[in-house]
Amino acid sequence: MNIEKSIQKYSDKVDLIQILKREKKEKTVKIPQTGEKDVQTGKDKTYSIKVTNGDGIGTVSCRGSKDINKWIEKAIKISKINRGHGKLVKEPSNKSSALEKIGDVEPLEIEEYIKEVEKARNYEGENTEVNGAVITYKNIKEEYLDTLDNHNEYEKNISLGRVSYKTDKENTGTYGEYNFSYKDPFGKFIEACEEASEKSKMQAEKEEIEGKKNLILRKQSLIVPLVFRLSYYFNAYNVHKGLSKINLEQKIGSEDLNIINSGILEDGFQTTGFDSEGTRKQKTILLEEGKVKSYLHNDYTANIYDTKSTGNSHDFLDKSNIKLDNLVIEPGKGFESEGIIVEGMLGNLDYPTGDYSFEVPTAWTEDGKGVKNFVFQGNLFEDLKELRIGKEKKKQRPGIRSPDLMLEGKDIQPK
Amino acid sequence: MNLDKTRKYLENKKTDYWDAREETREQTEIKSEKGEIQKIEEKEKRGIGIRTVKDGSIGFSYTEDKDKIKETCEESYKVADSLEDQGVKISNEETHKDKYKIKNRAPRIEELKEIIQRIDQFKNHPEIKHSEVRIRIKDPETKFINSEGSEITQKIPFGSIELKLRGKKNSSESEIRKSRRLMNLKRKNIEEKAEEIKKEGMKELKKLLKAEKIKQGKRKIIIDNQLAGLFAHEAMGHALEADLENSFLADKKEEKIALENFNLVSDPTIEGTGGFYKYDNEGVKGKKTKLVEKGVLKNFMHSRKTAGRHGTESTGNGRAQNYSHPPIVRMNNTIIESGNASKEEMIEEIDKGIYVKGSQGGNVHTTEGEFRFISTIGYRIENGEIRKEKPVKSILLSGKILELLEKIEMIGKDLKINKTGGMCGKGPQFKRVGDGSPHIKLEDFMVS
Repeated sequence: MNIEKSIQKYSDKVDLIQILKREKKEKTVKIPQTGEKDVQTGKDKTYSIKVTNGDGIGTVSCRGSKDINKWIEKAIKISKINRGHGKLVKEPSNKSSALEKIGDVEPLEIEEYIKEVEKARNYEGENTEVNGAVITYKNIKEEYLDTLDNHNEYEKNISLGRVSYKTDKENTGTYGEYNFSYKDPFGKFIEACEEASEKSKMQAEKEEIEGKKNLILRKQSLIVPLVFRLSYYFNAYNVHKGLSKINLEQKIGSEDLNIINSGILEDGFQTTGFDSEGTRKQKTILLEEGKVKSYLHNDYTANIYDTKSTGNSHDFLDKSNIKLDNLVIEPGKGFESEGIIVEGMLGNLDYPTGDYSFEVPTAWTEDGKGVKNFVFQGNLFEDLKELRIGKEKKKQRPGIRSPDLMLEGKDIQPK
Repeated sequence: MNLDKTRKYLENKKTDYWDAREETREQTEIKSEKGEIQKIEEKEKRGIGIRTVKDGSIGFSYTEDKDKIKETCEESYKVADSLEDQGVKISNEETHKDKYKIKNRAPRIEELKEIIQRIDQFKNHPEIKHSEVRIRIKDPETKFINSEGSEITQKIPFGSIELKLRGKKNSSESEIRKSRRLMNLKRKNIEEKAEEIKKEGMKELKKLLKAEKIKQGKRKIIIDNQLAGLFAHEAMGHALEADLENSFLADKKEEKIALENFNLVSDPTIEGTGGFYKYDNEGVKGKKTKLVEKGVLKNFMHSRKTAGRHGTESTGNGRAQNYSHPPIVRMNNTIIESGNASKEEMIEEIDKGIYVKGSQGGNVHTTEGEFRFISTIGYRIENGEIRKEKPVKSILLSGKILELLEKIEMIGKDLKINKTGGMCGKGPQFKRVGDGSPHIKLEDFMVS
C-alpha cells in the first residue's frame, strides 16, 4: 500500500519508476565435522528502486518501506547525473495481480529439520562416512510494481540440502559433496549418501591414465564449461558491446546440439515467477541444430535489438546483468564409444578466445575404476562443433537438464 | 538504541553468553564502459544479528526490522534452549569498551563520476576495444555488545577500484583485470590508484596480445608476490582455519611441513591493508598470530567458538559478512614472511622455466589439500633471464599443497602486501581480506 502510494506520488515527475520488493525468510540447520548442531534463522527485506527519466537512470536499494520516498528522491537525483542511456520503452504487458506460488515445500519446525540432518550425518556406507550435512529452507516473496501499472507477485519455497563425505577407512582422503534442492531434500539425503558411498569406492584406488581419451561430462562438470560461459556469450548486452562474438543464425554447435534457457522448468533451481524487471519467466531457444536462435535479453537490450525481453534481467539495478535461468540440453543421437566419466572439473576459460585449461579431480573409467587427477586443454567453440550428445535427458544438477555430453579424443595428462 | 533493547531482553533470559551486532552499511557503486557511465547506485543495508549460548548450545537469529528485535531475541534464545548440550564453549577473552572510527569520507558521486570518466579514456589506443572501470565505496559501522560487558563501535570505510580491458591486435584478443583496495578514500588517493591500474593494465594487455598459450607439463617456475600471496591465503590460510576439522593440516601441529625459512602469519593490525581491523566480530582485539614458524606448524586461526572447543584463546579471527551471518573463523591478512634470496638469484639458476605473474583467483580443497590457481600472465625464463619479449597467457597451476611446499627451493627477501581488492568467500559469507608474500621459486611443477 505504502509503495503504491509512493509510486503514484512520483509518477508525474519521471518517465518510469520500477520497484522490486524482496522478502526472504530462512532457516538453516547444519551439523559440521565437529558434530555440533548449528541452527540459524532470519528475515530480511530489500527494496530495489529504479527511476528512468529521459535518457537518465537512477538506481538505489534500501531496507524498510518507511523511508521509501526519501530513496525514490535519491534515485531521481542520480538519474540527473547518470545520463546518456537512451530512451527506455517498456510496455505494460505482464500484469497479474494474483500471487503465484512456486515450489511445494512447506516450512517445518526446526526440530524436524534437525532430525533429517542428523539422519544424513549419521549415515555410514561400506567405506564412507558423512562428515557434514546441512539443510536450508528459504521462503522468498517478490513483488514488482511500476508506474505503467504492472504488478506481479510470486512466492517461492526452496529447500536445499548438502552432504559432504569422506572415505576414511583406507585413509585415502577421498572427499566429495552433494547438493540437492527444491521439493524433496529429505528423500534425497540418503540417496545422496548412498551414491557418495558407491563413488568413493571407485575413488579409493585411482589409476594414472594419459594420452588421447574420450571424456563423458556429467553433473558438476557441466557447470564450469557450459552454464557460466553460455550465460556470458548469450548475454545480449555482451553481444552489443562486442564482448561476445556470436551472431543470430550463426552455426556454432554440432547439428545435434539444441540448447534452451528455461525460467519455468518444473523443479528448476532458477525457476521464478518473473525477472527483476517484472517480465514473466519463459522458455527461450538459444541454439537449434547448432545455430544461434536468440540471445538472452532484459528490457534495455530488447530495446536495442527491437525485440522483447526474454525475462533474463538478473538485477535491474545493472543493465548488463543478464543471466541464464535453468539450462536445458535436448537429447541427441547418443554415442557408442567408451570414455572416462568426468564429474568434477575446475580451471580457467579465456572469454575472448574460448581457450581453456581444466583439471579433473573426480573421474573414473566406465568399468568403475578411479582415475588420478589429470589436466587437459582445448577451446570451447571448437568443442561445441564436435560435441556428442547422449540420448537420455537427466537432471544433472538442480538447474541443469541435459544428457551426458562427450568430448572426443582429448589429450589428457596426469598431474 | 536497538542494542539497548536487545540487552534489555537478553538480560532477562538465563543464558551462559550472548552477543549482538548492529550494522549499518552504506554503499555507492559507479561503473563506466568506454568512458560512458553505465551505472550509479546507492545502497543501504542495516540490521541486527543476535547469538545466544545456553547449556552448551548456540542459537543465531537476525532481522532488518527494528520493531522485531524482541521476536529475534526470543528466536535465538529458543533455539539455544531447545537443543540438547552440543558441547559449545565460548573461550574466555578480555572485554573491551571502545569506539574506533576512521574518518575517511569518500568523494561525492559527481566527483567519482569525474575520476572514472577521466581514467576510462582509451581513444588514442586503437588496440583497446572495450574498457570498464568500477569504483565501490562501502561505509560499514558495526556496534557490538555482549553479556560480558564489551561495547565496541567500529567504523572502517573502504572501497575498491577495478579496471577491465579487452584488446585486439591482428587475430589475437585478450582481456585483463586489475584492481586496488581503497583503504584511504581521499580523492587524490583514488586518482593515484586509478592511474596505477591503468598503467599496469595497458602494459600487461599489450604483452598478452603477443602471448602464446603454454603447453601443459612440468616446469621450473618463479611465482611473483601477488600469486604467492594468493597461495598464502588460499592454500595455507584456509587449511589453518580451526573450524575446518578435516583439513589436511588439522593433525600436523608442531610438525615440520615446509623448509626452514618458511614463515606464515595472520595479521590484521597493519593499517591500510585489506585485512585490517581493530576488533573482530566477536569483540576480540585483532593480533598477529604465527601460523608456521621456521617451517613448523605452530597455530591455527580461531574464533571464540573454536578456541573454546580446543581449550585455547581466540586469535581474533571470528568474522561475519554482516549482521545476517554468525561469526566464523575467517582470515585477515595472511602473509608469507621474507626469506633471504633476491629475485635475481632465483632467476639466474633457471635455464628454462616460467615467471608466473598476477592472479585471477583460485580455489582449494582443504580436506584433500589440493589447490588450483590462475595467473594473469607469464614470461619465459631462459638461461637465467626473464624474457619479457616471450610472454605466455594465463596459466593454471594445480597440485597438492604439501607437494608444493616440498618443491619450494627459494623464498625471496622482497615481501609485498598485495594492493588488490580481494574478497574471500567461505560458504555463503564474503569478507574483505588481504595477503602478501615475497617471490617464491619452485622446482618442477605442473602448469597448463
